[in-house]
Amino acid sequence: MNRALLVVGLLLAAGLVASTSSAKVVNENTDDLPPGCEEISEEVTYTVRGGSEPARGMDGVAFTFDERSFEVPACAEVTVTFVNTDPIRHQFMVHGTYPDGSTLIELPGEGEDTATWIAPSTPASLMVHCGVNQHQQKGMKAQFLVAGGEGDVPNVPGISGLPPEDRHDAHAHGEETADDRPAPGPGALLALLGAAVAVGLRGNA
Amino acid sequence: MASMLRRVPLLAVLALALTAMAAVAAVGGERGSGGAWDPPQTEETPTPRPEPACPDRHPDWRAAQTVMGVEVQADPQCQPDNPELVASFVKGTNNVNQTTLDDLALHEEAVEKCCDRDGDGDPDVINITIEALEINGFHLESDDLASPYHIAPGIHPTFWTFAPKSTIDHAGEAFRDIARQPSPPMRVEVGDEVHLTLENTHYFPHTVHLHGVDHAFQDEDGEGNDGVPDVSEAPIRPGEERTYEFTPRQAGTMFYHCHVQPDVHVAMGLTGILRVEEERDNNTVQTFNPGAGLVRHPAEGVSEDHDRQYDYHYQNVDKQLHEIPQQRNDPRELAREMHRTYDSTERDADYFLLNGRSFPYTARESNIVIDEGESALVHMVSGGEDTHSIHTHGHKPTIVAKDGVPLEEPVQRDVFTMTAAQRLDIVINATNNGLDSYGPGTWFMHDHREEATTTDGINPGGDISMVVYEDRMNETTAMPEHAGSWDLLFTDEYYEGEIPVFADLGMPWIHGDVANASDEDEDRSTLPVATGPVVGLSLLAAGLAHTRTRGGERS
Repeated sequence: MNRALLVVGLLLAAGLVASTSSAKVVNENTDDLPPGCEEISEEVTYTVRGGSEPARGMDGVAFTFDERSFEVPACAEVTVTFVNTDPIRHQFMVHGTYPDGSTLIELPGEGEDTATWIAPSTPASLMVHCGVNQHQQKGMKAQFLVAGGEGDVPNVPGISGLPPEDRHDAHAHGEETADDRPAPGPGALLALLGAAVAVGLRGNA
Repeated sequence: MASMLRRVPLLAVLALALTAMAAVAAVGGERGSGGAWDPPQTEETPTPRPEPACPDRHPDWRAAQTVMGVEVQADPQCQPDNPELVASFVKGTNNVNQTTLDDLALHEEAVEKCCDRDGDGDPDVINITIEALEINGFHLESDDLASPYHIAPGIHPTFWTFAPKSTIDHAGEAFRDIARQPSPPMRVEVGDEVHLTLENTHYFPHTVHLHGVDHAFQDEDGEGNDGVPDVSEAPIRPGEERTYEFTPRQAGTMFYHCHVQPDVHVAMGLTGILRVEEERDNNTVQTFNPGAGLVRHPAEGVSEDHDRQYDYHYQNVDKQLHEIPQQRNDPRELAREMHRTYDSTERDADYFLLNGRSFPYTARESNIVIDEGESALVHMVSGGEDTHSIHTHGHKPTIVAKDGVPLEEPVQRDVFTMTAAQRLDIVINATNNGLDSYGPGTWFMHDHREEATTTDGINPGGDISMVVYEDRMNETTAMPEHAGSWDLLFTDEYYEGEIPVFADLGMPWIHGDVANASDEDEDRSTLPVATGPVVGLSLLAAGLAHTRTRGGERS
């Protein structure tokens, strides 16, 4: 009896270890037309790979998407299949979609899922990112330019560059760095020089 | 020879005379001309606008309750753990519905429990999945920090943490309860088959080392299982995962931490308590205790002898290291600055944390609340590099175990020395007998290395907590009863050093700031600059004069 229980237990454990969990799609929209759209203008589909693998060899980038700029017409129905290349969590999150403000595909590990949304009727630049801590900062950012867009979304690798150097200073929070410390005044230097000469003379004598 | 003897005293006398003159000038300058008793006026003390001592986010979380069939102990403090979160970590996230998981920002893989192999009423196969996350890191589009986490008013260094596997959290609040400091205490039972998976979501490589926890050097597949890079295994690179396996045979308070570049990675926060509980019937343990502190679902073996179980994780923070990730974004620059430019041999701690916060924030969540006659078991670790001298007012607790090994002869002390990575199990016995306890109160508990009771040199701060008797927990404010006011302490300005420390005592004429004090300081600071050239030039002149004299003697 106990042995039977053990076998069942082991089978359950094996199943548990092997199980893969489902992805999460939030705020999909296939039929609610944004203001100004009378009909779907076009159906466009993309397959985007995201994770550490597409970033391989890119200077200063840890995670990214293999395509980072997409041009779509106004009122297009956009269907994205997001492929996670890593066994860790990643997201493909489009900001500024109608009607909920964002559309998300989250994948807990390797795998893929699909989401659909409808582009607005006027030109817009929609930001795409992975919301896992620091993934956006370390390169996992992209853009949808709707009807030509309104300029590039900032800090998209290879599209709009990385943050300018001066942002480094903006992020210093009060820490005294070597550069901030007061330098020894000319007085101290002269005193040292004087002392050195005096000592030197003693040595010569 | 004779001329040298003559010259040396001459130089010395000259230098001494000049120094004395400079000193006289300095004293005269400070007294001011004329020597009249005319001190500058006292500056008006700024009126502090404190944040609420207790933000009162979820008062309903404090009561004892049964959630999803799991008993959750009362925690009368301001910021207790969410009872649903506690219950989910007891039941296993694979046994909780998706709506609840979404509310908690937890992924179903965080803690999977199954299989009562020995028929004793609790699961014996435990799969735990953690992520390596950066909190308070760089933000591209604004000066705001990504996922702000404050250790004290206005203070938010960057940390790295191991956190239960999470999922999208639109509100942002639930995620902050699980992605914080310290890396959460983990609990398993003796004999559990544990699979601990680290998913490396961070941009640097990491590992998990099971410090003090019984584990094989390699797992059954021959993979490294000790977490030491390039000794037992390769480190887990960004975007990769690895599963560590162990079936602990010994109970005790253990430790886990990243072993990659540990002088930096341990300091950044990748350390936590790993508690192996004794085997008992129906002992389904609370796998994570987010933020440490009270274990709201204590282990069966502990409940037999004690009324409450606490985790107490001490850390020290050198802000110089913890600010680098807020100043740079490029991983190459971060690797250089954190691992090569930053010199851990010159480390100098500025912040001292208990359970991820400094006082007064510790007073919201990390007191030891106890009732007269009760017993509390506290599991302590020095998670950083400090050797602590933890002192309890009003009590002499008993040290019952060190480094997970029970002491044959427990010792009673009021100071506990605990060096880096060391664990102590102490029992606080609230029996009023003049030894175990002096009676009810709001009793201070703190590191007696006094710097650790400051936050960057401003006292009180650091790793202070309190032993609070239940009748002194104010039910309305959810804070301990105390004398005086803590208003000043709940301001950013106090810890920026902008408020006189005795400002709330009402004697500004002797404790307030001197008007235009900054100008005076500048006047005084020019003194050494002025003295330097005088002394230096005089010595130089004396030296040159001698050279000429000697030249004359030779020719």
